[in-house]
Amino acid sequence: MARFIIIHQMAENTNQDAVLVARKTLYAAIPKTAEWRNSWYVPKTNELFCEWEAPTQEVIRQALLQSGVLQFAPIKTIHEVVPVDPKDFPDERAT
Amino acid sequence: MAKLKFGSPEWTQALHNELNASQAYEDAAKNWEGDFYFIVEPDGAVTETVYMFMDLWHGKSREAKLVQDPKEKNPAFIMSGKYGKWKLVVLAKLDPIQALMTGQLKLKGNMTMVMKNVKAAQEIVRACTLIDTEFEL
Repeated sequence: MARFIIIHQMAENTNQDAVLVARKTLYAAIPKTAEWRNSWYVPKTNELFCEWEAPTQEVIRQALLQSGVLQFAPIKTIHEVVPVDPKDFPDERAT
Repeated sequence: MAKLKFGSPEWTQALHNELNASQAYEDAAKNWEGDFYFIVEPDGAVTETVYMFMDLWHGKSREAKLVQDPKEKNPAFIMSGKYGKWKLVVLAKLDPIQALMTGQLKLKGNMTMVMKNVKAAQEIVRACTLIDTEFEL
């Protein structure tokens, strides 16, 4: 399964109710073949970095579109990425 | 010094004083303009709702007090949650921005503006931790 980092540019004015409703709808819209793994918000740039696992980026786009998330957090860029885990370097951590 | 009861007028005044004494808060919130109601909702043995008004302006607390009637003020932001959730925030065990994003605390007002000022929120929490606080729960 491929991994993706999606960068959203958050709207300058959002309300919490809309965000929480969209999050709930998003969970329902994510197919079993995909997983929203994590997100990080960057206050300085008002961007949201989201990590996904999915067969294709189109699967994620469709889920986001159906959920309404894109109304306040449109996609700026999508990167297909290769995860690198510090746990894969046990020898270096020990020194 | 005696402990101050969370949500009391004395506790509110202590937070006002801590914020105005904090250079870190002043720096973090230098661009902030907006007043708040922090609403502490009944939870367990706590049966009264507390309405804490704070007028936060460019890194200073201009006014902080409890109000009996929420119609008294019309702040730009209203943040509310159960007593138990606020206790976790005040003890720095729950990040307030994370609480907003997950719905553990409710916000009326521009959420983006609050999220962008995460450092100011963290400094408010730091100020809370400096108050010797007594909790009812």
